[in-house]
Amino acid sequence: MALLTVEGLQVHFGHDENQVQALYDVDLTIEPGEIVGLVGESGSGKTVTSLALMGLLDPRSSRIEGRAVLDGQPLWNERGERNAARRDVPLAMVFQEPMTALDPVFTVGSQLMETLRTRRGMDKAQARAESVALLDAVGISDPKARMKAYPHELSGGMRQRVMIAIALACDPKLLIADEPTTAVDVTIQAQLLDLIKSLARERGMSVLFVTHDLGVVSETCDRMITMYAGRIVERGPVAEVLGSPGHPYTMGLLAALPSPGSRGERLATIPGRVPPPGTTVEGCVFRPRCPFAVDECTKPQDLIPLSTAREARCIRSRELDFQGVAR
Amino acid sequence: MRIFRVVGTCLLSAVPTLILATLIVFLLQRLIPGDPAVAIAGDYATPENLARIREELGLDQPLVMQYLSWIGNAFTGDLGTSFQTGESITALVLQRLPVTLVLTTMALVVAVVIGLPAGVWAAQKVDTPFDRFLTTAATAGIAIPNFWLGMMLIIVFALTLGWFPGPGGVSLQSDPAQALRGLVLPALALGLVGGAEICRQVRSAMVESLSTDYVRTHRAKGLTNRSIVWKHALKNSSLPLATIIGLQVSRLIGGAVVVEAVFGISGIGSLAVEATNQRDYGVIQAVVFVAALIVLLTNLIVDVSYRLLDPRIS
Repeated sequence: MALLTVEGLQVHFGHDENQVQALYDVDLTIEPGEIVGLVGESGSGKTVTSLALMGLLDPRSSRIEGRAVLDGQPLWNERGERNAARRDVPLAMVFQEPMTALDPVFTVGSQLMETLRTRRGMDKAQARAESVALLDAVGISDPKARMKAYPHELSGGMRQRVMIAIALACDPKLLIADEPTTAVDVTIQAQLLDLIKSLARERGMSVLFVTHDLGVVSETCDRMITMYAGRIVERGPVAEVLGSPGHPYTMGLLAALPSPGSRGERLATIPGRVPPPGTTVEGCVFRPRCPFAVDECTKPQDLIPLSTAREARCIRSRELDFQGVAR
Repeated sequence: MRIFRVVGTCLLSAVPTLILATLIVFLLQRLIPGDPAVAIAGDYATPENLARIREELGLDQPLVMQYLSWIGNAFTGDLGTSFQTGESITALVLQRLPVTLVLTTMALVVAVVIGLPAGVWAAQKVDTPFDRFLTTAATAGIAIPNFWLGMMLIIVFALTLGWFPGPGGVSLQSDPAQALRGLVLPALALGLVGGAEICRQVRSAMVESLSTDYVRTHRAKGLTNRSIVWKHALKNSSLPLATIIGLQVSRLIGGAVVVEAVFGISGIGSLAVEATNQRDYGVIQAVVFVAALIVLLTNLIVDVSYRLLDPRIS
């Protein structure tokens, strides 16, 4: 049975006539132990999806529809209200900005310990011992001394490790990682990716990896989901999707990657930009930017199965041979 | 150990401020028209008489010498003798100071007890009718002069309802309990305005704290709203909070001058008013000196608390 099942997830922001739809009928499943990449440009809806799952969207300015069940527990009720017992849901998140995501006036230790005490009902001594163990598990040297450190005394990479430790303190079965390596430099990025991968393997934890970086996806993920303008446009095993994308948008993202052979050439770009939330496009939402658009693309598009595990929201995906990258 | 170093540094930096404050008061006194010797001897005194009085009071010395001898004595606890009564000014100040200290402390408690929760509530309900009501009320509160508020409180709670004694109550030394009861209305008159100010500052600081990334992290970890608001967001808002409370102390001391007059309290504020009317330089200087000391001490506490509240300040 899937660990996470999301069906028909829709998110609206604002009220009444100012209402803007940010997510359209997002379905997704994540199996236990699986690492899934959620890919898209800024504004594609990937962060809204993760915040909705985390229950971090402000109920005063947003409305959630659809069903989401994690490990047998619903994340919200029929009216879109957050599950009151959310604290028992095995879900945690690592954020993009390690510089601002940690509380500056509390020590690393106290931020870890309070998480353990709230989420796992530990007493002070247990929480302290477990915190040290968690800091050790995320590769922080001299964890006992680091317990007393304030976030500003740590480097960006270290802070992100602390963030991961705090997420692990929630004992998650699913970890949502929202661009966790964007704000750190490349060597640290590789270390953090390895860390997340090995932690997932050791703990049998699933990861939803939100990123715009296809390099990260190909290194880290088992499966990937491409989002565009609040909709899933393609999904499938990473090797298959990157080898021969089923949607022109995924192809465009791949073509925009620099590769060793492309030195000196201009990088490809996708013309235009993501339509702002609330704009209505007839038929395929990518049509205005798509080099392969035909008349039929003005009709509503469904996800079309391409193989057992693959789907793409493009009527021409079987007929056209979109260019992928050799892995 | 860190705390001792912090206090030491702050104390050292307070000395020049204190010297500057006393110097300004000292010079201002000498610049305003009017001669204390005339005030003592009367308008028809002989020039010899005036000269003798000036010599006795040291007024014939150069200004620098006058200032140095005064400040030297002040730091050893001797604030001089009153030109008017010949009493020791130190004794006079010590007799009048306690009631003012009690009054301003009570007013500060009123300000914080009202302003802090109101600001935190408003921040949580930001942009709701409740928030708009509180913000409007706070703005109106800041605009109310405390002497007017004092008179309204006397009319309603002392004269009409009779819940509290009216102006001119007993002294703190003779009947402390009754005196404290008498200080409730003045403390309200003095503290409500400060509470309005604190409410506004706390609200804006809390609105900012509550919208930060780390608060989102705390929500993601599943902390209760109470812990997020009252522990994390409040501690992160504590620098502006400490600043505004510190500022309130100097405002309250200044406001005490007026409120003591309205309520007939013989504290240090009314002492300053009396001394000014009688051109009693020594007493005015002493009052300003004591007020400056209190304000500097407050700043010291605020400075130290910054460093304790925010580990990033070293």
